[in-house]
Amino acid sequence: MNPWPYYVAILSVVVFATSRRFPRSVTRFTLPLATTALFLAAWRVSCHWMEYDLRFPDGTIKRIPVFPTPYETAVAMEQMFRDGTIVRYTVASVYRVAAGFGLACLVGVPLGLWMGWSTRAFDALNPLVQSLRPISPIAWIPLAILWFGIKDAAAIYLVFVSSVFPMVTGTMAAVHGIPAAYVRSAQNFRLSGFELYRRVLFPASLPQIVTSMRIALGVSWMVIVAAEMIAVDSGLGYLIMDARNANNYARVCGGMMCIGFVGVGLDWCIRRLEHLDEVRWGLSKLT
Amino acid sequence: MIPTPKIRLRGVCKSYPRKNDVLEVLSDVDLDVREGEFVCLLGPSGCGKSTLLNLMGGFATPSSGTVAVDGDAVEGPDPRRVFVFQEYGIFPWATVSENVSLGLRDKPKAEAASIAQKNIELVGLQGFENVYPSELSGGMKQRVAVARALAVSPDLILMDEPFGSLDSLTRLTMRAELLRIWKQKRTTIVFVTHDVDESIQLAERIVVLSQRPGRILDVLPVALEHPRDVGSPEYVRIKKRLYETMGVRHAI
Repeated sequence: MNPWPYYVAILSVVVFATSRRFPRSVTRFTLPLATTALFLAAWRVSCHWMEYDLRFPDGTIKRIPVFPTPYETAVAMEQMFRDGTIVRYTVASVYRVAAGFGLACLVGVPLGLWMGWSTRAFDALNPLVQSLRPISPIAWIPLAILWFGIKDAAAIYLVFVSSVFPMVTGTMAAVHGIPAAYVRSAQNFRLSGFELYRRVLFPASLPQIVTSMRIALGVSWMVIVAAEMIAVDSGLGYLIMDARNANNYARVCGGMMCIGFVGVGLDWCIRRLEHLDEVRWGLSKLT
Repeated sequence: MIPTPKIRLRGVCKSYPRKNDVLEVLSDVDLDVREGEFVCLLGPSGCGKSTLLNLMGGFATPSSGTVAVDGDAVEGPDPRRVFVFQEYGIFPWATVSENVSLGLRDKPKAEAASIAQKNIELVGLQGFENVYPSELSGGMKQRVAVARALAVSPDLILMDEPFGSLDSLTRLTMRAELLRIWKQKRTTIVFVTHDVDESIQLAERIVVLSQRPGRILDVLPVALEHPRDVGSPEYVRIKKRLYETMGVRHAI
């Protein structure tokens, strides 16, 4: 094997060891680069270690690679990118997440606000919500296929199930945590009904709602991949399962990396919300 | 004819049930507050003075006895009786002018805007109308709370240690500002504090409460002209008497 992974690993360790000598403006770029380089180097070396010799009856020996190298993965990704597979499947997956997650927010936030404010709504609905919540979205796959078939709707439903409960629970907890003085001010000025929700309960809970959205979206993205392996015939999860069945592990790894990158992108999008004035007031202590 | 007092409390008791017994917070409180009067409720922490204020504001109901404002029994919060909290009173997600307009939702837009503006100017916050509370200092936030209360032209302002979380210099300024506004508006104010000086500087009448269960130990008129000199013999006499009533040694 080429010795470059070892050189890269040594170089990375040198970067880590000397990082104290450099200002943050330098290390905020060099440290993540060094970590990435070390990761790739370790990956490459482990590929080499996992190779084994296969002896044929005629005495010939063949090195069998078990695991794709970073380079092979990159080639596979490039190929999938060029033939449009990645773009098509990413769009399919993101569309399902957007639909399911959006639906979960539309249902979960009002429901959470209502259950957080009204003790009677809480008493009536909380046992049901808390019993449904621990059921893994994966466990819903058979029913989703039964109801919706091998179609988008099945995957959208699974994303919805995975994110609606974090949204309800998070929003409800946010309402329960509203300082008494805000609620009393609202009562003092005779806010009630829709106005109470619009002017106090929703804005007071919004920072925590956004945090719940971030968590729920992360879960959604994990669930969609699992759902697509079974419940549909497109998307990044399907890509991975399909590549595995074709014994093409470079594509499997390429698909995984793609899932990681898109996940980072989705999280970045939702974090934009944290910069809004309506949200920032509640997060200022953290930043 | 003797006019009905603004607030009339008769035989007010308040207790909360606990696991094995009952926590008695207020015991047999009788008190009248006149129209336009500035009254301070003074007492040690946990003596039930905030509870008493909550009863007047309609946020709690007495276990026995009656709480009446303008002769009518208090039955819940009402914008005619506005509460000013120590903290978390104004909404951090709304701008200064949105906060001040909270009680003006029923008014026509133009009228609401002009009332809000007038009260923002009254508390000296002109130029900060579109600013969020997080960008304001503690004293300015309490000015917003006062402006929000005044905007609905209440009959009664109930203040629960409103300057308690401010630094001591800002607190002095805020006291002076509150007096300036009170003299202009003559709204009845009931002001809860545990600070002896604060009560003497502000109140026309000081109501001293005992340790829990809170009962009225003394009602002391303060017949001093503003600005009140903290070194004047009368001031010192009142201060001594307050400390004696509360059973605290003031010379340390």
